[in-house]
Amino acid sequence: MLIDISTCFGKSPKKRLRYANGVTGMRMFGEPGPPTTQEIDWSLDNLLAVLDKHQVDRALTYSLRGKMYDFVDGNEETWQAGQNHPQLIPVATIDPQRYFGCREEIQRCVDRGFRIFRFFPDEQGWSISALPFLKICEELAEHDVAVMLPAGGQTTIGTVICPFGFNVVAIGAGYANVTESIVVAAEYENFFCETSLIHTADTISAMVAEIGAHQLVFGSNSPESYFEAAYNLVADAQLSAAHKDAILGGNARQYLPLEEWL
Amino acid sequence: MKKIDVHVHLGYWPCPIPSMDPVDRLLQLCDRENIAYAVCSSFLALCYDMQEGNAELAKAAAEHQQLLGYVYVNANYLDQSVAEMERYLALEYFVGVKIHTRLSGVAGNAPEMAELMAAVAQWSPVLLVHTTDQNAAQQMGRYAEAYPQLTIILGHAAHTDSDEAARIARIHPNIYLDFCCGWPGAGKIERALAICGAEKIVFGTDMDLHAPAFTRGMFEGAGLTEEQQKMIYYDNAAQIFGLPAQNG
Repeated sequence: MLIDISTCFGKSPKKRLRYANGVTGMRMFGEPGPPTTQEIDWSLDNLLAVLDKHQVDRALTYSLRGKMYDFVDGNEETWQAGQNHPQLIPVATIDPQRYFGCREEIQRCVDRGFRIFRFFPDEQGWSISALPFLKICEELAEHDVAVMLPAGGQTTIGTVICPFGFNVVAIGAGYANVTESIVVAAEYENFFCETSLIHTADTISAMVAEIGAHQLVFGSNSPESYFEAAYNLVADAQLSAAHKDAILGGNARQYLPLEEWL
Repeated sequence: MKKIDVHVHLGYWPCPIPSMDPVDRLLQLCDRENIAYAVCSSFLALCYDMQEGNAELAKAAAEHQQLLGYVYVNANYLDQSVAEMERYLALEYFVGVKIHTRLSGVAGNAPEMAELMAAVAQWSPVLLVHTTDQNAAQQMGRYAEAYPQLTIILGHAAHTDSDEAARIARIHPNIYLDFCCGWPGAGKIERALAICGAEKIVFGTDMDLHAPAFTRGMFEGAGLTEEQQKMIYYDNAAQIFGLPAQNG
């Protein structure tokens, strides 16, 4: 079973990407120039087309509305997408900065059947070690859920978030910080690495040799990114078929609370 | 399909890549990906010592027919850069020059870079240059106009500014795009095909910083026709570097 744990759908007001923001920010020598932009089709229809094209059995997905505007409406939109399209498993999001209503939204989502909560501290401008988020983690720890966070602070994820006990997936580790993922995964059994940007040659197979395959989970970042680029990193890795199957879906199935959705 | 990889590095990275000899690693990746020629620059030269790095690459390229070389040149060291071009471009396995603006700390529009570009145009038929954004791509467009005999490959196709890079490639017959990049943004290759055509795109992977399968995935995602694959994966680069044709 092919499970893609990192997808989204919706709109973007700026045609501007998180990565593009970074590129714009690090323009050399302060040379002036317009912000870098890319045309991306983030629509639900496009996401579904990508998933169908690649025969993805299940995709964990969230609405960009929830990340960029209002998590209550966004979660509702995500829920509806999951109801209308059985291959989509809805992922809820909460912005701790709103404070009021966060606890109620967690309860509402859990009651409905959301089992994965994804957070965007870097894009929303808050810290995972700040108390408002830790209070949310306390709340989540009362339920059978898993949490997704962006890579970039894996040591903090390990030392501060993993002790809550739920499984945590770090999304988007790349060559600048994948070493941190390896060390944190070795230390914390409930820490998992999403693979879409582990694109240094043979690093995924090296990680399997070092820490085993069970803490790696496949995500594509569709529809923003080429699905094939992320898929090839696993499918073409120097790994046994069993390890590839585990990363491409088996681990998500085993270690994320998805039973009701499979 | 047989490939020519125009963007390869020889050296050690600050990343968890399995420990083995960097030359053996590149050769292994070439075999796995059916890469007939890997055109390399030395990461040691880029990061630390130009002369030592170029010498290390020269040794590897002399011993392995699959490996070709870019002489790395640095605008901070013009005289030494010219000497490096003089030394290595006479060798058949050195086929061009590499410039990295960020790692040398010299912007594309700096006077030192202009001097270096004049020297490169005098010595080398091909330049691979790291481009971070549209400013860098536009600057290279100006150099392409000034030095029409020099073929310039825009490494990384200006990252997320690849549409602008494609427009520059369309305008200048001596500019080509290489799409290796840490950001696999869906649709960027299809748009470049529409803007400048497959004849202005070459296959570069940035291996072994990047797995070749990752960049190949971007091209697979773009749904290339067989003819486009042939041009991008091999023929365009063969023409640029004067390498044997696919069946040659």
